[in-house]
Amino acid sequence: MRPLDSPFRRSALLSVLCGLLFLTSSCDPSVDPFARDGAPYFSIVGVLDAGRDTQSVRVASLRDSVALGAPPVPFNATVTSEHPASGRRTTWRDSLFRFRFVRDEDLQRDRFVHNAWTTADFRPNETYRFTVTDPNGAASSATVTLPDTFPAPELIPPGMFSPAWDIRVHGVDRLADVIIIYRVERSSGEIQTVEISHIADTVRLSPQEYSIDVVVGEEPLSGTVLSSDVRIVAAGPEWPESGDLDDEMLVAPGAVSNVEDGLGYLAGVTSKTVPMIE
Amino acid sequence: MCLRLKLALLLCLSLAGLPLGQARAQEATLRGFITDQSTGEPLQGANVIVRDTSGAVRGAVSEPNGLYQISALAPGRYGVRVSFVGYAAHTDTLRLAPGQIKTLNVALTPTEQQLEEVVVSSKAGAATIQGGEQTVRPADIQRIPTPDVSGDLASYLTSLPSVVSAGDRGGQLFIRGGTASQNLVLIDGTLVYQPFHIIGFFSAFPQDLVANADVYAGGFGARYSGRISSVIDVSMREGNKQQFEGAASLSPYLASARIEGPIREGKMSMIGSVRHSIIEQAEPLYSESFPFQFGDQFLKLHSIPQENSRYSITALHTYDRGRIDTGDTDRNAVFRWRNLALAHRLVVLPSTVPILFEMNNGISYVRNAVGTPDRPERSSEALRLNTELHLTRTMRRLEFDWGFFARMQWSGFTLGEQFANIEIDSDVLFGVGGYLDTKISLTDRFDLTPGLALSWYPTTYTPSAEPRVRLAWHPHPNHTFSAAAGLYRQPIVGVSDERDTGSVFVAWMPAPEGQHQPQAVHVLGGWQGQFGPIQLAAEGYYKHLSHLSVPRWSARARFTTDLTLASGNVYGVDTRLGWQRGPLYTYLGYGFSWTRYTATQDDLAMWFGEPIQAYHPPHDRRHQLNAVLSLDLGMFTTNVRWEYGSGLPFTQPIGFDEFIPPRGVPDVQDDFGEPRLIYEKPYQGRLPAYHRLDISVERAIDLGSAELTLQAGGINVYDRNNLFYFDLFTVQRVDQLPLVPYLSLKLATN
Repeated sequence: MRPLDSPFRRSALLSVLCGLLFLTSSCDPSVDPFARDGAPYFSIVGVLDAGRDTQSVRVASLRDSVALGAPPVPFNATVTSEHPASGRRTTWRDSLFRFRFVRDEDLQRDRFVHNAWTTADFRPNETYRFTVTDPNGAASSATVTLPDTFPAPELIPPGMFSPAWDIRVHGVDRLADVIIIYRVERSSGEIQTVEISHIADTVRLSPQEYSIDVVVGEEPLSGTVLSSDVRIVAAGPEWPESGDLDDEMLVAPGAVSNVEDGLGYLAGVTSKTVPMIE
Repeated sequence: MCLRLKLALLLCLSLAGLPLGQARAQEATLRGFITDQSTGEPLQGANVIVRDTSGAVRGAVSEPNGLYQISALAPGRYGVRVSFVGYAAHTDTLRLAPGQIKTLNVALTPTEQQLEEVVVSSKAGAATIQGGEQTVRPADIQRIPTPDVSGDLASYLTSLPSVVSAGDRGGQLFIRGGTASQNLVLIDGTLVYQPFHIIGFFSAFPQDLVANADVYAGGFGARYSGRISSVIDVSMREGNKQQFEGAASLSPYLASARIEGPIREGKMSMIGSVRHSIIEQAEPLYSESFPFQFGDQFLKLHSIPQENSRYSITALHTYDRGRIDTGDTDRNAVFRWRNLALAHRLVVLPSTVPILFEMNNGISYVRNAVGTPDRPERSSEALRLNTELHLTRTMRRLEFDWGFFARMQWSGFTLGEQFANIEIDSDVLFGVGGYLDTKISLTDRFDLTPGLALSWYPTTYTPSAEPRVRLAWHPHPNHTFSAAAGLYRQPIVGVSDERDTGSVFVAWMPAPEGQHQPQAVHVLGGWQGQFGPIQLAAEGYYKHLSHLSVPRWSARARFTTDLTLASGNVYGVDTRLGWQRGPLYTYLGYGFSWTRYTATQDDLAMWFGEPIQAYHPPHDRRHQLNAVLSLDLGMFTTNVRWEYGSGLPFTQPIGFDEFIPPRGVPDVQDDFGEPRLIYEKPYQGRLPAYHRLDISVERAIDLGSAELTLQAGGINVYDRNNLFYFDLFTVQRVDQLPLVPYLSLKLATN
C-alpha cells in the first residue's frame, strides 16, 4: 500500500475542514409549514335559532387550532353579531368545550373546541351579520336571514296498514331538520331525553311541503318511551343544500360554505315543537 | 429430479433446440462455472478467453452465479485462459469435437499480490451505469460509512444519484420518480416486498451476505416484470464450501452473528446470519429516543449435485417496529412490518443442448401495520407464490433469453381509524406470462437487445404485451454509449398516504376494478468513459406514467383507500465521477430529477376551482449530491460520505377545524364533529434542504486465527437538524437522526 504524500494529505484535510465549516453554517433548516397569507381565517359552524334563548356557534381559528389532540389554545378573537336594521351590535362570549375520546384503556385523549354563545334575541324574518375578528383585524363573517314562522306540522298516526307516523310539514322553503324528542325511562328509573334526527327520511312533496315517515320506538332507545315530541326546523336561504353530496365531498373545504373569508356555514333557523305521544 | 421438472426441462429444451438444430450439429460449445478455489463460491466477472490455432480469440465474462458460456466454436484445438483480478490465472488446452458441448469448471486460486490491484469493470462501481444498470459489489458497499462494521446495501443505494430516500428512517426508496412499492427487489430471484429496515442504513442485505446486486434504475429487460420503476436483483453469497467461518459484530445499532461452512466439503455449503437491533437498548448512551427495533434472519443452502448443475434454497425473515414520528405521543402510531421470503433456485447446464436452464420458485409474504400491537389501526398483507423458468442460449452473435412464469398473488387490508368505520378487503390474482430477450451483436462494438414481456391476469386485467429494447455501443474500449426503452406494467399496487411522507404503511391491492394496470414508459440514454484513474458517467432519462392509483385527496385526517387516477412525467439526469489514486477513492454523484403527477378529483374543484391538479409528489427531490471518500492507509481505513438533497414537496396546511356536516341542525355543544385538515393546493410548498456528513474510521487487528475490526464513527457529525417530514395532522416537525457517534467491533475467524 503506497502512502499518500504529505502535501496531498495536508490539502485534502484542509479541504475537508473548509467544507465542514461551510456546511455547518449554511442552509436554515427551520420550517414554517403554514400558508399564512390571507383568508380563510376562521371556521364557523352553527345556526341562529329564533326558537332558542341561547345561541351557540362553533368558532375555530384555523391557524390557532393547529394540532389534532393539541392542548386548548386561548381564544383571542372577538365574536359579534349585528342587526343592520336596528344597528344593534352584540358581543358574544366564548366557552371552551372538552370532548374525551377513549381508544384504548390507557389512551384517553381530550380534544377542545370553542363555542361562542349569547342570550341576545334573534327574530324570524330578520337579517343579521355574524363576524369573528382576530386581534390583527383579520375577520370572517356571514350574513344570515332567519326564516319566517310556519304552521304546526300535521301528525297522521299509524294506521292499519302502516306502523309509521306520517308527519306533514307545510309552508317551509328549506327544511333543516326533523327531530323526534323522546322522554325515556331507563331500567334504573332515570328519565332521559333522546333526540333522533329524521331529516334523512324526508320526502319533498312540493316546494313547501314535506312528508316524513317515523316509526316510534324503532331505534334502540334502551328504555320505556314516556312521551315524544316532534321538532320541525325550517332554515333560511343560507342553509347549505347538501343532499347530492357524499360524505367525502361534503367535508371538502369550500363544498358548503357561506362564510366570507372563512369556512363552514352559518344559517338562520326557526323551529316549532309539537307533542307527538303524550 | 422430479417428473414434472423433467417434463418442463424437456419442453424447454425442445423449444431451444428446434430452430437451431442445424447449427448445433457442427458447432461446439464451452461452458462451465468459475469459482473461488478457497471458498467454492462463484466468481462474477471472470474473463474466459479461448484462442484457436490461428490466434483468433473468443471470450466471455462469468455471470453472477459464476457461469460462462462460449458457443458457436468451430471444432478444433483451443487454448483456454481464465483470469480474474486477485486470482492466479488458469490456463488449459482442450480439443472440441463437432457438436460437442463441453463443461469446464474452473476454480481460481486467490493471490495476495494481485488482491491489491485496482478492480476495473465496465458495470461495477458507483461511477458506472449502462442503460440504467449497474452492478454493486461488496467492496462498493464497504465504502459507505454505516454504523456497523459491515456495510449495507441500503446505505449504498442511497448514495446513488438515482435514488431518493425520504430520510434516515422508514426504509422507503424512490428511484427516478418511482415510488417504493414500484421497485422490484429480489433475493436470489424471489421478491421481497419491504426489505429495507426502519433505520435507513440497514436492510436485509448486509455486505457480508451479498455476493452482488444488479440495480436497474430503469429500462430493464423483459426478464423482469410486475413493477414499473426499478429492479434491485440481489444475489446472496453461497457460503464457504471448504471450511467453517464465523463472525460476530456489535455496534450501538446492531448486534449480529454469521456462520458459514461446508455441509459436504466442496459440494454443499450453508451460510446463516442473525441480526438484531440494539439501538433501543442503547438509548441511555445518547439521551435520545430511538424507539426502533428491527432485525433479520437469513439462511442459505447451496449445493453442487453434479458438475453441470447447482441448486440453492434461501430463507429470509425480517421484522421492523418503531415510531417514525418519535415526538408524537398522542397518535402512538407504531409502524411494524415483517417479510418472509423463501427462494429455491436450480441452475442446470443440460448435457445435450447448449443452453442454460434456470428455475426459480419463491414464496414472498409481507405484513405491515400501524397502531398499537394488540389493536392496529391499519394492517395490510400480501402473499406471492411464484414459479419461473429462464433459459439462455448463446450463439456467435445472438443470445436468446426466454422464460415463463406463473404467479398467485393474494393481498388484503384492514383499515380502521378513530373517526371512521373499519374497511376490510382482499383480492387474489392469478397470472401467467413469458418473455423473450434477444441480444444481437450487430458488430463487435454494438449490441442490440429487443425483448417482449407478456403477462395475463385473467380475472382482473386484459393480456399485456410489453415491448422493450436495450442497446450498447462501444466505440472505444474505454467508452460506452447505451440506451434503453420499454413499456412496464404492474398488476398490484401499493397505496401509501401521500399526504404524509413519513408514513411507511402500504396497503397492497390490485388496481381498482375496471381500471388498467399502472403503466410506465421508460426512455433513457447515456455514456460512460474511463480516463486513466477517472471514471465518468452521465445518463438522461424520461418516464411517462399512467393509470397510477393514488389516494384521493381528502380533508379528513385519516388514511384512505379511495383512489383516484393519476398520470405523470419524470425526467432527469444522473452524473457520476469516480477517481482512484492509490489508496484514495473518491466518488461524486449528482442527480437532477423532475417528477409531476396530474390527478383529477371532482371535490377539489369546490375548493380550488379546478378538478385537475398537477403537482410534484412528495418524493420529487430536484437536486441530490453525494460525495464519498475512502482512504485506506493500511492501519486505518477512513470512509467519509456527505450527502445533500434539495427540499421535498409538501402540502401547506392552512389550519384545522372540526366540521359538523349539515345533515340536520348541527349540535355544537354535543357533537365534536370531524377533524378536518384545511390545505392549500397539493404539494405547493417545499421543505428545507437536507445535508449530512457521516464518517467512519476502521482498524483491523490480526489475532492469528481471528481478526478483530474496530470502527469509530459518527452519523450527522455536524449535528444538523435535518427535517424528516412534517406531520400535517399533528403539525409536528419530525427530524432525522441527530449526531450519533458510535463505536463498533467485529470479530471474524480467518
